[in-house]
Amino acid sequence: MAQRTLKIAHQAWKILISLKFAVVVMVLLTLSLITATLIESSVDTKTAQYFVYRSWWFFLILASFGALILAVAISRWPWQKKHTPFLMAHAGILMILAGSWLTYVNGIDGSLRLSEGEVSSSVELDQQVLVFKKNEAMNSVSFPWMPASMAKNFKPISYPEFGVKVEKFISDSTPKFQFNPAPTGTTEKTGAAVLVKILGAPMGGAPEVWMWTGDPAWATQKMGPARFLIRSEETVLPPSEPGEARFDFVVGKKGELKFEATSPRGEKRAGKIALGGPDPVIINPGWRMPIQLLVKQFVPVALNQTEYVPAKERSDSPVSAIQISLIENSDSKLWLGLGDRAEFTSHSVDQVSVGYFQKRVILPFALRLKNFEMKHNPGTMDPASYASHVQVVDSLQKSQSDMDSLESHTIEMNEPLKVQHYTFYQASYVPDFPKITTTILSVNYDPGRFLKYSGSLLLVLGSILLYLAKAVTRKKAVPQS
Amino acid sequence: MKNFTKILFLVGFISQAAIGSASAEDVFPEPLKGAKMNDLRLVPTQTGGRLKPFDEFARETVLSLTGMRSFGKLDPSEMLISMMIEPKVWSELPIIRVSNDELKKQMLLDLGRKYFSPSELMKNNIFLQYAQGIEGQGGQVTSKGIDVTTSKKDPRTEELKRVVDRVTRFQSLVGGQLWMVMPDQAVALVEGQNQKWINLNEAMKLDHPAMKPVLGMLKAYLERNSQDFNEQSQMVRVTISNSVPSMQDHNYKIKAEVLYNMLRPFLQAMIFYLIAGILWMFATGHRFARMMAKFLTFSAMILHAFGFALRCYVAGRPPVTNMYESIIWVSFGVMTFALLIYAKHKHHILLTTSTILAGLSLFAADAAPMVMDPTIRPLVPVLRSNYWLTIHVLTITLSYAAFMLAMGISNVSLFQFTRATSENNEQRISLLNQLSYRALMFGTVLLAAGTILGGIWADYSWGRFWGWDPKEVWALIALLAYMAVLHGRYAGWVGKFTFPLWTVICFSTVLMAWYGVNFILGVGLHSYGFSNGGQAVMASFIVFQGLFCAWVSVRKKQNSTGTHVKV
Repeated sequence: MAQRTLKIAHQAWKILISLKFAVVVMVLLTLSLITATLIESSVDTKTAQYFVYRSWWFFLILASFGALILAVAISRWPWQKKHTPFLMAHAGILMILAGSWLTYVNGIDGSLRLSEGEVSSSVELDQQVLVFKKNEAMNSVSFPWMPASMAKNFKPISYPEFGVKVEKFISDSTPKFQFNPAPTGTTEKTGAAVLVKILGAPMGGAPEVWMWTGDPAWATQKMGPARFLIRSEETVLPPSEPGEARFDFVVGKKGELKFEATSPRGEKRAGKIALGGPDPVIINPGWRMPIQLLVKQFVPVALNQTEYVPAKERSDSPVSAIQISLIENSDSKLWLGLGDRAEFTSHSVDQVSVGYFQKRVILPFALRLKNFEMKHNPGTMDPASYASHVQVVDSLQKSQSDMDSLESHTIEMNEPLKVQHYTFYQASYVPDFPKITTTILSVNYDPGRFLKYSGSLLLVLGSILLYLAKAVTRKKAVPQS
Repeated sequence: MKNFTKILFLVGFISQAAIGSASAEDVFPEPLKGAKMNDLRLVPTQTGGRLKPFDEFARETVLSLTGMRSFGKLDPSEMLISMMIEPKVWSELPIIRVSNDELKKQMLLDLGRKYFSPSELMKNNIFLQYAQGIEGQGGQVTSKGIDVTTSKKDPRTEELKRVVDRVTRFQSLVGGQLWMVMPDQAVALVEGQNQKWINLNEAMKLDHPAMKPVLGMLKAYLERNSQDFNEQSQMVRVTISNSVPSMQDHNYKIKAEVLYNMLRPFLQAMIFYLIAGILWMFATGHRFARMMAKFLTFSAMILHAFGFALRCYVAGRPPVTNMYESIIWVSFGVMTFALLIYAKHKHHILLTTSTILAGLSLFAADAAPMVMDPTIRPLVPVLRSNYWLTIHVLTITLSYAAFMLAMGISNVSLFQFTRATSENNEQRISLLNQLSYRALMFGTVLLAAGTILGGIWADYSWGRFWGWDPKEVWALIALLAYMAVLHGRYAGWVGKFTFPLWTVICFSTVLMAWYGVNFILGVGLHSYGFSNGGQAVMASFIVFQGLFCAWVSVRKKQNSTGTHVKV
């Protein structure tokens, strides 16, 4: 029996170290890579990753590639001096594979979004989670992305400990905003909602915007230097910052709609908004910039019934969405786009809030953006370079003046900043008008870097030596002109 | 696109005035006899994000209108002056290129014509509808900070967009808005800051003294007074140059760029290479022909290198950023590797193959300026001032050169199989395979090194070594494909015939990594190199190569029935 196992093992070893197997693996790898790039071209990057780069079978091909290289290197035992180039090249590949594995398992590759003056240590990863909150207890569960073709046959997933069920998944969605009058006795969260179109806005203008008092994230809209918000009369907000144009929709106690406009220089203008007439209501906030507001709809007690539908046009950065419901009462269905949060109030289940977010990691320190700077090519608006001037904040208790005195570092294209193990790169920015104030840094921690770099060096040196050695041995073997 | 409505308005105005005078025969204005363009060419101007000579501005404008860097009998600089002076004449002349047949059908244009006049396009309904709709579209910024619009492009819309752009450009040229004539004197210059230039229209309104010779020059041309034109254009050069701060830094660059444009070093090199290639192919028996071939090859390489250096100097960076520049570099690489291997093996076939390959590549680069833009442009931020980038791109494209040489030699080797088998032929094949193996050695090492260097660059500037980006992946595919062949050769499965065959087949992976990712797949982070066009040429190359391989296989079978050729 033992002999038989040994025989099989010997056979397996023979196959593993055979060149035939090596070529088969190379060809398989090549074919799967070709497939992946074709998928990426015709669908999108995430789908290619789902079906190929992050699939178990692709991992298996890479693992067998690694195994056979290791086996082939061992099979030359006892090693001699002439084997050196061969061993170098093959060890190089092994080290690159091992380094990549380390990066994949332990590395961090995320992004950090910072507005001027903001301090943040929360890095967004390219993974999604469901965050449940019930009776002060919080729990986050990873919720993997899947491509459209898989989402079609999505089977509902239940989370019984929170009484919540995910009913549908859309990989690439667009929101269809709907704020409808709430029926009496609804258990869902309600608030006043207003639909506004901003006329004469810069940069081609904004589409219609809903604002809703039901959720702080819905209550404000920032557009360039101006802030638009909706609040009830009782809510008192801090006064607007100097230099900021602010427009408040104020919902009175009887459900009437009023407004308060504050110009950047502090001039105020207020009034009532009389809806229901035959003509559309247009309000001039009295700012210097030629902006007017067209109030299209006002719902005093509204439910957020925003739905997500599959996007018609393919986008570069698809936004996924899920539909959730309560297990015990699947009538009340809610849509959550990535980044949204919703609350359920029901009689038997205590208040549950569900968020659908990007996964985040918290760094052991924070960054503060002092300012963002952009230079243009002479005579054009094409960006020539952009830079973020940041400070490293090690304690959040610091006062404003303490922070101002921190040392400033510049992160530029091709000029990353290293703090502890983490490296920060200038990746992008949020386009804004008239000035860009939000930067997007990519944050990276790569424990496999050393292995990958030294492996690369070995591979290249090894292959050069391999060819040189071949040229020399050939000369020795066939002494001719 | 900002002033688009305004421009449309202007067009309407101009074309309406000119509608009545449309004639059946297109009479292009004649060059002004005795007029020297030298001074005009050297007048500095600012467009496309950098300071450049008027000559380059003119060529770029002519390219964007007609699809060629010079058009008709007029020198591009003279053509621009003529257009600005006689807009009515030019707006009736067929100078705007429309190249998509589907689009022509849709616009009810004559399919047999390549060029159309601005005024006839301006009267076209589809053109007008689209032109008005185009305004609101803007660029995008993605997670990696590169502007891309990856949604699959419809060739008709793309071409229509270009046609609208061409007509707009013509209109803004004749309306005095395109020629940025001098720096804005009203704005104080801050070191390293964005210096704004003002166009002809704005400058005229300012009544600046520098405008006097400009007007004088235009007037002289209108009156067809060549002597006056020559004097005035010299004045223009002097006054405008004087109004540019730190002109001494740019002076040589401006001259170098005009020299580069007038000399067309790559075109000359191409002709030399091709003649040399033919000589190497047929006439190596004659001593004189051999000398001639050597001389031509040598001169072509000198011209090639000189053009390359000139372009580096003008652009202020190594030319590594688009298809045109990479072809220039790769064809030079082919020559370099051929000479390196020749130094050891002294076989003419190396020079034959490499000169023909280099000549054809340069021809391809020059033949389609609309597909492979030869214009020198500023780099996108991610490509700027980066040592690793330069090394990475130069290394990886150099590997393409080695593979191209291997492909060429392998094709010759394959061709040998169509001949009757003989001892001599056998030896020849072995030698050829040996040569292409040498080239593959260079290729694989450089490709591995280049791919890794790309990883290092990506790690340095984006924070990841490898991200399964299509360009990276295709470089890896090419490497794996060649590695499979080399290992197969080592194991003895790939023999005398299959080795060149696979070498030729593997070159399609290089084409895919080099051209295909940018022009066919059009996705990923290398989007700064994305473009469109040339698919038909690439496809026919691959089909032709496939047919050749098939033919060789058939001939070989016929030859080898009953002979001793081992496979």
